[in-house]
Parts: sequence; structure tokens; C-alpha cells
Amino acid sequence: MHRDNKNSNRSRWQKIKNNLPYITLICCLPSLFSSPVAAVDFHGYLRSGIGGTQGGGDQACFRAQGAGAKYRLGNECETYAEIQLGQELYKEGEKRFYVDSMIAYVSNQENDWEELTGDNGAKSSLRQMYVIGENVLDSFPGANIWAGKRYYQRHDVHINDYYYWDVSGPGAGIENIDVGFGELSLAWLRNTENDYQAKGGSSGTNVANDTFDIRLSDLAINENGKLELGLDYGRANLNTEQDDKDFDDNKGYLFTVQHTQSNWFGGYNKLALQYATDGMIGTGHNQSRDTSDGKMFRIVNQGVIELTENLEGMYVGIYEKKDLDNNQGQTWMSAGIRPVYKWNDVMSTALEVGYDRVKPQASGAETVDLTKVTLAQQWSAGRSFWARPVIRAFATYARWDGDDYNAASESIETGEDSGLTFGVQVEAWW
Amino acid sequence: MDPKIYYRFFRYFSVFFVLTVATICRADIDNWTATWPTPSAISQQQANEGLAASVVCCQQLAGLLYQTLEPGKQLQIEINLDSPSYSFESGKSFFAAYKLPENANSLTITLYSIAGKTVFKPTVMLMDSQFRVTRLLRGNDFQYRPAKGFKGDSLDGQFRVDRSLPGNPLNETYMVLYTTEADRQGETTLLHPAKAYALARHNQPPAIPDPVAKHSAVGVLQLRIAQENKSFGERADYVPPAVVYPSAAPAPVSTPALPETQDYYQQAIKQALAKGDMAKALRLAEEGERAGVQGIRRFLLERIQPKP
Repeated sequence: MHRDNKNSNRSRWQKIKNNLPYITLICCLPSLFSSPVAAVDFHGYLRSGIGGTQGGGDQACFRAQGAGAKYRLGNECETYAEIQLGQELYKEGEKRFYVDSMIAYVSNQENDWEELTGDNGAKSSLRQMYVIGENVLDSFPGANIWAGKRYYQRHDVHINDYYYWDVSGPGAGIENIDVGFGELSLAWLRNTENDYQAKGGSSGTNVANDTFDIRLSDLAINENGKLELGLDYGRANLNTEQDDKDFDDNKGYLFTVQHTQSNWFGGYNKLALQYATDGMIGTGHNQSRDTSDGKMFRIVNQGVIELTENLEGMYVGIYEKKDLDNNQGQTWMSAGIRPVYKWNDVMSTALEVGYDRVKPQASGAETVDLTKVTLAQQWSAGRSFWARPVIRAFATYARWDGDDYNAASESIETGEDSGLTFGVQVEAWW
Repeated sequence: MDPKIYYRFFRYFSVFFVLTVATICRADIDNWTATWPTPSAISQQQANEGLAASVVCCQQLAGLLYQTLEPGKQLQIEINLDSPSYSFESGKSFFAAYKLPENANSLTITLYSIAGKTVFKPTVMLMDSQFRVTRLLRGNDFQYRPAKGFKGDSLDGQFRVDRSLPGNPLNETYMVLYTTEADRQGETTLLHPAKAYALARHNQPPAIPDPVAKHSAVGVLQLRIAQENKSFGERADYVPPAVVYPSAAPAPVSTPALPETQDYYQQAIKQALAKGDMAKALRLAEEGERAGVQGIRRFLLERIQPKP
């Protein structure tokens, strides 16, 4: 009897072992379907689809030359995905350690089999890999310490995919220190410029740029309004050899003041003012190589409002002036709206109108502009502006001055002034 | 072939394709919306007033109207101002009551209480076949899970109903969904969709307050009832039912029989004993007991006990 039991136990184990891959799969499946208790947190993003251009050819995407962004509805030509897996490692009382990871994939959506080798734009990238410790410092209750590669408190405009304050990268820091009237965050982050060649040097070396980021957020200054102040100091971190060879080590500051107003026409408004000098001209990372000395001023005002129960939309206005000592600066102005009319909980019609204008600093250089209009019929899970996944069938029309440049990514001949594209796209986040 | 013809074909085909997809999707909209219900549009105050004005349907749990549930079904439950109400120990509440499938495999029941401007914070009462309470699921058994994929904002809970001993009268047979007076005072803070986007993209969420769903006396729930499709013997993950019977009452006492009935059984037993038909006398005693004849067993025992 005893022996039989043993045998049956063994054969049962054999059965389990043989089926281990399936068992693993089955165990993982619930985490994909928002089960009440999930051991691994699965977050992610994807967009993909298919489109064409009037006159034949693959879908063209339109962007004004020199502009920091393009309006995205019906104007995205690639497949992009982010897969995030995170898990709690430790928890005792309020103390908690959490590991997070993210791999990003991009391809030109041309084939079934697109190897992520870097050819034809198909790539994968290790974007996040970090651990955050919450409440682990007894002297700073509520504060988090973290280290690793990370998206760090990024601020974006959704409808043109523009990240105006983004210092993401490898780093370490302490977040959300309660200072009574707000929260203080400190971080040290890195970006590196590859194959930097010194004057007269033959081979390139990498130059590490450091950014020190200080933010004071959650300042209540008016009813339903919050203010955030940010200071980023960036500089090149040269080694002795680079120092000896007199590498450029551009440094600079980026100041940010940001105000968020909630209870604003059924949504919110977010206004950011930024001023940057020299190496920090840009969106957060220090550049030693490409940027000349100078200064930059930027205003980004955006919001999502709900005018009626069936009409919701996002708007943005951007003004960015780069005044560089080498006369290569520019002024970029951008305005866009995306109203969405909801027919019911699932179907909506979205219209996106975007205008970009780039005026080079150098006298004599042509000012370019681009207007893009997209009409899309959307089917989404829920009726919010933010409801995803969404499947949209779209038609996009863009207009620019073909004598100056070609705004289209493909399928439109140089010299043409306009383009019409159509297609179906899916966008999801979870 | 001239590639231009191909392009032209592609152009017309694409337009045709988009239009077809649009038409099909339009026709299918009703099915799509049916998958995830819309939250209740009744305000918290209206619901409270409606509850106060409603007349309690019954005096006993056994008297509620129990609807039959079929396994494998997805059910949309609307608890509204027309729903029946009952005075539970935790306070008066609108309810929905169900009889669970008896001749089924063990069941996994998932309940989503759809959150919008208001939400129904559910309590689930499970009872055995004799209406004795076996479990009360409430509080943390239902947790807020933000909208994700095709699931909207909701309070979610999942539990298992064991059917490994078919026909056992202690099997959980009845289920009542209601809410408590204490729960109706509370509220659930939802995740703002703009913040959900920021979390998914790992951006800094906008500094705006989250929407709040007030707990209401009415609401919309979705119930999914799945039957385990393995036989008892195949299941390696068998866990005995986590059922305790804290309030297991004695078996219900049936109403006493009429004196005429009592006389009838007593006479019949006497006659059977006189004929020496012991088996018949015993059957009569059992039958009389079921019919509510008091002391009929003692009556029989007294007559068959050898006198000292």
C-alpha cells in the first residue's frame, strides 16, 4: 500500500513535470486578465496598424521640418510597444521594495517577420530596470529611494507625443520627501554621447553627461491648483584624457515652473514655463556636442476638457524659442485640438487639427509650416477621452510648402504640397 | 502587370475595407456595449430616499424570491428602486437573490460592481439548503480594481462554491446580494483615467484629484458563474470548502399536527402492533413525525418496551 502510494506520487510528479510549460502558461494567464490578486504587475503600451497613401504606397507620416513633435492621430507609421513587468519584493508594514522593468520594441510595420536587429528601423531597447524602496528611510516617512534605469517623472503632451520634461535614463534618487508645504525629489541621472571626437582627435570616445534634478511638487497655491518647481543642472563628466584633449563640456540649467488646474471645464489644464541655458537647451538632458551656447524659452499649455457629456477633447499650444550663439536656433510654434464626439459608450468620432510653424533664427532661411487634419471613427472600451484599447479608422490630410522641403516620411514625391493617407490603427495601454 | 493597376485596386480596396469594417462594427455595437455594463445613473440621494420609501418584501430569508442561476452564464444585475427590499441585520437594503445550481460541479463566482458616479458596495450572503447562513462576504472581499483593458472601474470579488458532495443539504444553495447601512455611508476613490494613462506610460500623473464614487443603495453588477470542468478525482488542487457554520440553527420545527392527525397515527400504530406488524408500526411513526405529530416516537416505544 505504502509503495503504491509512492509510485502514484511519482507518476503524478512526472505528469506535472511534463506539463510544466503549460502549467506556467496557465498560471500566468490570469495576470493578463486583471484577476483580483496578481503576483506580477503587467503594464504596457502598444500601437500598430496598417495604412496607405493616396496615389499609392505605404502610409506617409507628416511632420514640419525642425518641429519638436507631430500631431499623432492618423499620423503614426510604426509599430511601437512597451512591455512592463513589476513585482513587489518585500513588504513589512509601510516599508516596501518593488522591482520594475520595461522593454520597448519598434518596427516599421512592413512585414510579419521583423527582426529586431536595428535594420529597417526594427529595434528593441532596455528602457527601465530599477528598484524602488518606499518608506525605507525612517527619517523621511513617505519618501522613496530608487536606483536603476528609469522613466523619471516624465511630462508629456498626449496628442502630439511631445515630452517637454524628460530626464529618463540610468540614475538614482530620493522622491517625495514631505517638506510640509509640498514634496521634494532629488535625482542624479545620466545620458551619454557616443563617439565624440575631440578637435584633431582620430577616434571617438563616449562623453558622459550628468543631470542633477531637483523638484518641488504638490504646492497648493490656489483652489484646485497645484504648482511644481523644477531645476535641472547638466554638465559633461569628462575623464582625464578628455580633459587633457580639451573636450567641450557644455553645461547648463533648465528651470521649469508648472501649474495644474483641476476642476476646469470637467477636466484640467496644465501650463509649463521653461527656461534653459547652453547645454541644457532641449527637454532635460545635457548635450555637450551638438548644442551651441545660447538660451531657450518654452511655454506648453495643454488640457483635457469635457464640454458636454458627449463632447470631450484635448488642446495644446506650444511656443519654443531657441536663441543660439551660432545662429542655428529657431522658433517653433504649435497649436492643436482633438475634440471627440461620443455616439455611445463604444463608438466615437475624433477630429484632430494641428498646426506647426518653425522659423529659423538665421536671417534669410525660410520659415516652414504644416497643417494636418485627421478624421477618425473610433471604437474603444469605454467613453472617456482616455479609454483604451481603441481601434480607429482614419483619413489624414496634410498641407505644407513643397518648394521648401518634403514633410512626408514616404510615398510622396519631393515638390508635392500635400498628402492624403488613410488606414486603421489600434492603440492600447494597460 | 502594370503596378499602377495594383495601386488603384489597393486604393479602392482600402476604402471599401474601412467602410465595411465601420458598417459591421456599427451593427455590432449593441453586443459590444453588452459586455461591460454602464454604471447606475441614480444619484445616492435618490437611492436613499427610494430605499426609505420601499416596503420590505418578506419577514424571513426563506421567503425571498430566489431566481435560478445557470452555470457558465454572464449575468447583468441591476439593483434599482424597483428591486425588493429586506431588513437585514446590518440594515434595510435592496437585494437580488439567487438559487445556485445544485447538480453542477463546483462553481467559481466572480462579481463586479460597476463604479461610476456611484457604486453598490456589495455584501454576499450564502446560505445552505435550509437557509442557514454559511458565509458573509463583505468589506475587503470586494476591492476596487481600476479600469484595465475591456474592464471598467469596479469593485471586484471572487469566491468558490463547493459541490464536491452532491446532494449534501449543507451545500451552499442560496445567494443574496445586498449592501449594509454602514457601507452606504462610505465612498470609493477611483483612479482618474488621465492618471491611469500616466501610470501605464510611466509618466508623471497630472496633479489633479481622483473621482469619487459614492456608495449607493442601488447599482449595477456583473456576475460571472463558471463551473469547474474537471471531475472531482482529476482535481489535484482540491481545497476543502472554507465553510464554517457559525449560525447553524437547529433543523426547522414544522408546525404541530392537528389533534385528528395525532389520533389517526396513534390508532394506526396500535392496530399494526396488535397485528404484530412491527415494520408497519415503525414506518407509521416516522411518517407521523414528518407530519408534525408530537411524541409519536415515544408513543410507539412505550408500547413495544417490555414491561418490567
